[in-house]
Amino acid sequence: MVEKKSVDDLLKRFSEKESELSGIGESIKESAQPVAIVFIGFGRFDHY
Amino acid sequence: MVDSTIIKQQLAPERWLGYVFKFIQTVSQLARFTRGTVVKRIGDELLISFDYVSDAESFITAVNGSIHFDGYQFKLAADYSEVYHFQFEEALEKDPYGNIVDRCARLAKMAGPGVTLSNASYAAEANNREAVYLSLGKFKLKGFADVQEVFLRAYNSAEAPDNYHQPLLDLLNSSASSDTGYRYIARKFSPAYFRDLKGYIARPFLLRELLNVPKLPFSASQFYKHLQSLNAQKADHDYYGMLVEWEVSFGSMSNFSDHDLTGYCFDEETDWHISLHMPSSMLEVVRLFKRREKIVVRGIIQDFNVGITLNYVDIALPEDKAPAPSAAP
Repeated sequence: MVEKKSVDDLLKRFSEKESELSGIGESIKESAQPVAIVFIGFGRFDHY
Repeated sequence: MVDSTIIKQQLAPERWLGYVFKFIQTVSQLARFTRGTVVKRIGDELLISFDYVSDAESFITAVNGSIHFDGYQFKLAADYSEVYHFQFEEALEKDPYGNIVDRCARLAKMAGPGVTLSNASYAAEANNREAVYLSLGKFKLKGFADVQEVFLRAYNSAEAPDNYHQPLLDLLNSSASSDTGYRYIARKFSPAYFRDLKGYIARPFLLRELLNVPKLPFSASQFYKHLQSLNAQKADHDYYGMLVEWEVSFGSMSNFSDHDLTGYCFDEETDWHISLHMPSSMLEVVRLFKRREKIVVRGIIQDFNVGITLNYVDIALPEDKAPAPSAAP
């Protein structure tokens, strides 16, 4: 049987983890800016 | 001309390594000259970011015009949108993250050799006298809930000399005849197809030769029955932009405008109506057919409003009536 204390500890750890990740997410979100990006890759070589 | 992945498997390393090295080195130099940042290299693909679309346009123009790339054909995709930046180490460039990167990667996979594609916001921002961005219609991109409008970068035909289009013409004129299971009606594309460009619709292009799009694995009858068994609106979104190749019965045609032609076909088994949007230059081909005659149509799914509409349609003869591919020019 799972004790109430261990469930409470687990929920607390989840809550702390989520709070930490949200904090990181919030700070990265502030870096938002429009940019143009280009992917370039080989299509074919004409020599072969 | 062979795909680079195949070349790497078939040739000794010393025969292709120099090409790949020179390609990456030159692209990196051109990116720096045009105020771009090489963010990532994945094999022989590069992701480059620019603060402004005008700089990205300068880069694409420079790549296409570089004498170092004589004999190379690229696949290019451009996107413009908001990104978030990760920076793991001070010495490293900031890494862009967001939908834009996923979408641009999907567009790059869609581009055939020699083709540059973009999303709608990039096309709207690009203001380049040498190039225009032409809508190819709506496409379902893997992982994106909404259909995305895709644009093709084409040289502004009013200002470009005919030989500017030669790579695209060669592509169109060489590909169709070598496709197995498809017998096309012989005709040759010329610079006139490109001079006719008006507005922002890519009428002259036969997308199969320019794009890597998935082919629908159903006949017209099978697809009609499949749609009947599904929620129609969901089905619409899932199939936008897919290539179909169907044997159907010819119905009629009408001139939509000076540049467009609409043909009507139907599936005999289900009586499903199939509209075909084509460039007016296809008139000479469409005139060959009589009502109820069997034809093979090849096009891109674009609309489900009344029956189904296919864009950029090419028409061929059924296998049993067609000449051998070698007879075509």
